[in-house]
Amino acid sequence: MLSCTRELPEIVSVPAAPAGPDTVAEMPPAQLEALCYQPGMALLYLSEDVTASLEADASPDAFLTKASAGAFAQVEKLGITRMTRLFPDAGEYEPRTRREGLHRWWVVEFDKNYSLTEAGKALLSVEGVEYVEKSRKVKSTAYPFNDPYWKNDDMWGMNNVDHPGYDVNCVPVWKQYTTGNPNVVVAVVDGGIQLDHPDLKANVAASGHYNYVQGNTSITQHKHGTHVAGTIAAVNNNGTGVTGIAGGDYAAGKKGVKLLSLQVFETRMDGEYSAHSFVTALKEAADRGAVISQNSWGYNFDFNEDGYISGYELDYARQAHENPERSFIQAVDYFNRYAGCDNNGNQKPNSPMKGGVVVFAAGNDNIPYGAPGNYEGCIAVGAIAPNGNRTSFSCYGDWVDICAPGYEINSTCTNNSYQRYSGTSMACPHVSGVAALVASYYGGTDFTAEELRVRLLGGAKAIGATTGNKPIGPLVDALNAIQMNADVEIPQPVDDYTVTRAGHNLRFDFAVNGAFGYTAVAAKTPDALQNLDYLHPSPGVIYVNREAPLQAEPGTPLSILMNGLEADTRYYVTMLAYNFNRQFSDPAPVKSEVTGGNLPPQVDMSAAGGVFQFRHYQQVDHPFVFSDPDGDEFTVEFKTDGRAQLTSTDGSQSILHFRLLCPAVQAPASFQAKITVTDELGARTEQSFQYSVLANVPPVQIQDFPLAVLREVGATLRWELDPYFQDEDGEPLSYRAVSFDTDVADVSILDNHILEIKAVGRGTCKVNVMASDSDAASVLATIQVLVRLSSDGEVFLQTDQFREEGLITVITGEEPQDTRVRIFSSSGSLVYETAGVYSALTPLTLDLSALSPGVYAIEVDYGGQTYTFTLLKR
Amino acid sequence: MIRKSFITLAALLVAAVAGAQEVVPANESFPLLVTPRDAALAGMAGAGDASTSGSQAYAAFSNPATLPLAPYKLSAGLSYARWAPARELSLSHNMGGAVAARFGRVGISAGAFYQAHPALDLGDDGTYARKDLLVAAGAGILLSQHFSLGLAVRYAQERLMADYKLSTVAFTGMLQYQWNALNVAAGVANLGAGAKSENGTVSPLPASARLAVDYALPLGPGSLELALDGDYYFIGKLSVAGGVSYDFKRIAFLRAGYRYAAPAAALPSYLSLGAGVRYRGIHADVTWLTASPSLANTLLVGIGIDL
Repeated sequence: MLSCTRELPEIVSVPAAPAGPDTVAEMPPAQLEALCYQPGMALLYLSEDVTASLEADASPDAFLTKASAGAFAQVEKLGITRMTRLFPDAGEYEPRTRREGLHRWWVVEFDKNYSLTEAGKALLSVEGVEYVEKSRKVKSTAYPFNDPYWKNDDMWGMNNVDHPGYDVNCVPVWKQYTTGNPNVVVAVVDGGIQLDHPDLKANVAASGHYNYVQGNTSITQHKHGTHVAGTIAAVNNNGTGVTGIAGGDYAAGKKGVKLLSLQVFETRMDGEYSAHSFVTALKEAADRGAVISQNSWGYNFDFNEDGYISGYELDYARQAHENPERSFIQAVDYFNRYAGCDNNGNQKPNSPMKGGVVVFAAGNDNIPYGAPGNYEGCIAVGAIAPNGNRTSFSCYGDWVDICAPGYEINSTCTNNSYQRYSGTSMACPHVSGVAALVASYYGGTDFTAEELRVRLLGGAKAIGATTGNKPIGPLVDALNAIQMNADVEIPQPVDDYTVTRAGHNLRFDFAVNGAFGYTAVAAKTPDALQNLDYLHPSPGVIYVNREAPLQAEPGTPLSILMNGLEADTRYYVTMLAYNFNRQFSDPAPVKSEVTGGNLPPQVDMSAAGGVFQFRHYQQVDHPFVFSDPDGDEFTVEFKTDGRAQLTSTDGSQSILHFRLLCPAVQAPASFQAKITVTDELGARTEQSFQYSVLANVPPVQIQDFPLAVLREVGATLRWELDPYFQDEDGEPLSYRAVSFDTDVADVSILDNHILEIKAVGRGTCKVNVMASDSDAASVLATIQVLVRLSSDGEVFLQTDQFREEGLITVITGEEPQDTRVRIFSSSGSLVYETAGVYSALTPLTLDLSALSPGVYAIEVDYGGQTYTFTLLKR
Repeated sequence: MIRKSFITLAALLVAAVAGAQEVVPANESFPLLVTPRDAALAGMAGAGDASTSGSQAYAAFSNPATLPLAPYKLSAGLSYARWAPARELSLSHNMGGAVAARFGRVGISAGAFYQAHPALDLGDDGTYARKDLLVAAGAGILLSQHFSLGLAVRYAQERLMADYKLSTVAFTGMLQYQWNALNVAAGVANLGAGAKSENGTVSPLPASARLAVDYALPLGPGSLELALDGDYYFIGKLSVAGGVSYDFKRIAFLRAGYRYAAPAAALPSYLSLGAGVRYRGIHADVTWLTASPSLANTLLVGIGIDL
């Protein structure tokens, strides 16, 4: 939640934070929960099966209501009103979204009066819910001034006149290298940019902006977001307002980098609003074409709003710092991996960079924690004052990667205005701007996010901006980032190489000669290879770069596969070597080769062994291997009339796993499936097959249980159950057991396959054991339990039901024998006599409830002996 | 799935039935109401309720209608029985005494018995020595030359545990007809409330409709007395006792008898043999019972005086 817009004097005069919970009363957990997290909302990470079910049930608007929430009906008490994907269908980028598992994140909205903790427990109990996360409240990290005064050229972050050396050193870059490249898109995940600001509009992307607060494409201007955007790419040299680090040169006709507004804060008449989920914007920045993600926001821990983080607030900040949310990690990782790339993670032809860089403000709480920007996938930015010292508010610690100017920063603001703000929010876009500047210069087919990161962090200069033990990293330096390792020599040309056809593609083989990387170049005419600008390739010339492995010794063989060539076409080729600063060697001799015909991709389904009959309980997982002889990219389409899918487990398209979805709910039947693999030139391979889900066969009992005899109270008997039951399907069975007289024996199932009978009291009882398969088809077996004490004779009476129900059971020996039972009254009268063949397994039970009160003798003749017992009938 | 689980659980709780179960029919409570008290009459297997030839001290325990027909104005007796020693359960030591007096057309009788049982292990109820008490009082009146009427009331108490006892009051009414040496008595015995068990079942008293016939005839120096008593117990059982007594000059007595009782009757079947001596109004009697699994070797002895 956007909450901190304090005046600078408040910041610079901040006293030492009062320490310890003795000065900060800890709030009740429920109140803290309300301050930390958004009510009535949780993020769920679901299993593939449940995700598929939800997606199948989703409305055309891709949300679910309570009525259609399927498995979530069991938590109806939560009052679920809506379920939506956290990362919505990404259209063109949906395949990689799914491959990364991001489609399994769902936002569930429920009754806001329901405790998030209790809701989390309830949701976690739903089968298929793997994680539950609360949705944190967020605040921006800005410290804007209200003072409207500003002067032209008062841009110390870019040119520090009073304290030379304590700026981002971008002026030399503007002069020598670049002022920005519109090919580089910076996503400003913040309040909405004033898109028509006269000092910004020339560098604003034509489309792709999105308002995550409203859920539409309507961007509403916001002070914080507009200010941040101006630092990155306010239009330079236009005679208006301020300058931006990568804002181009308007007078020279050079545009700066493009600003993409992904609005997560919004100012309305009644206050500040923020998006339900910031991670959605983080992830979608990649899908919307950005390669740099600018984030000047963080979590709110100032629960009592006293301006300090102390006591329990500090504990919460530490916990968030040490335990980043999974959804945040996945969103950042997704951006880092896929920004500038296609679904397969390959750099797109016109993309300036393979992968992305996420830049985060370290925070203004003056504490050693900084969630979420401290996550290692982000570049965390601290703030310095004009004199190079750490600002009093900047969060600090070894996790802060880099620092930048963040005090009284002059930049664009809403309604065509300009303002000076302070905060790590202002330092962060300085780093994003420098990153954009570096990507503008080096951007191309071989430029990677990893290299940009190395240049930013490696090129930063140590300025001693630390105060005591509060480090905030080195100062970002645009020139150093560009010129990093500028003293390395221009590499030698590639001595020799061979080029061979691989289908319609070409393969370059050569030996490493110590260069940083190698470029294979191809064109249809030899003239096109003359006077090449390798940083800015000419149309019709194909470049493929490959960095040499770090440990590769000179002479190590290396190859480059050049894809995307036309079939049966002659290409003229050459190779070059380059150093870290993209200084290229002379080209190797030009050669030519004719490409072959395109070969269709292949699919290998041999892992299934040719058998596609499955028991309905089976977790089917057959890896199908896909390949293309030409090395072409390919797409896989899978269609079936059943419920099955092909899933990648490692992000690769080369191995997809055939899996049944919700097999237990499928009626036994046969289904048709068809796999179509199509390469980028349209060659395809189709593979059809049939798979069957077989009917379930219930388990059966295959042998009787013996009499369970226990001879001491407390004694236990354990039986392995598997030998007594069998399931034709081979399913693992689950067991349940019930004792019909817990005064005699308790039963339990250990390790899901061992029956434990524990003697509680003398007597007999029955124990039912039920073996069930995964479809709950079951078989019932009965075990007779006899508990007799070692002090008991061959015969004893079980009287636990005598007083309540008047029942006694005559427990004889284990062998059936002639038995006579006589009951005498105290007057000597023979009250009752009976005889029969009885045993402990088939005992005689007598109902004495009609007998008059008195004392009776029970005489039992069994096995040639007479046993006498005395009973008091009340 | 929830429904399936429910069905599964329900099936799991269905118990298979094995073995047999039998219901023991109801029986009568307070059997001490029918236990013989007079060692002399016990010698004739309890027959002789209508007899008026001997002491009537115990008439309050049997037939109070004989009281106005008694040959003595005052009778008293003490009795001891080692009852049913064959089983520890039924063994009791029955001790008591009774006295009877005749005043013109009216006779009265009263007596009390205490029964001590050995300590028994009652399982979960612990060990306890049961104690029983029986107190009786009766009166008879001569209605005419041949008819008399008698009524008796008895209080019985069975203390089965220290904290658990049963008690009841039973009534007996008899009409006696006497013609020379023939005595016939009829009436009802032991009417009263039965014992109520904890489960609410009320067990009836051993109440019965009784018919008793007694006839004495001279035989040599002595006489022979024949007696036949029958009881129809209202619970639906029958018992019949027959006895014979021969006396030699009213000094020495030999007695024998047999009592048949329906199965599960409060007082079982038995065979009795008895003997007695009498001198100057003082008499001593002894009876031995056998033929029942429980009552084997039961011994009753008594002494008394008739004035």
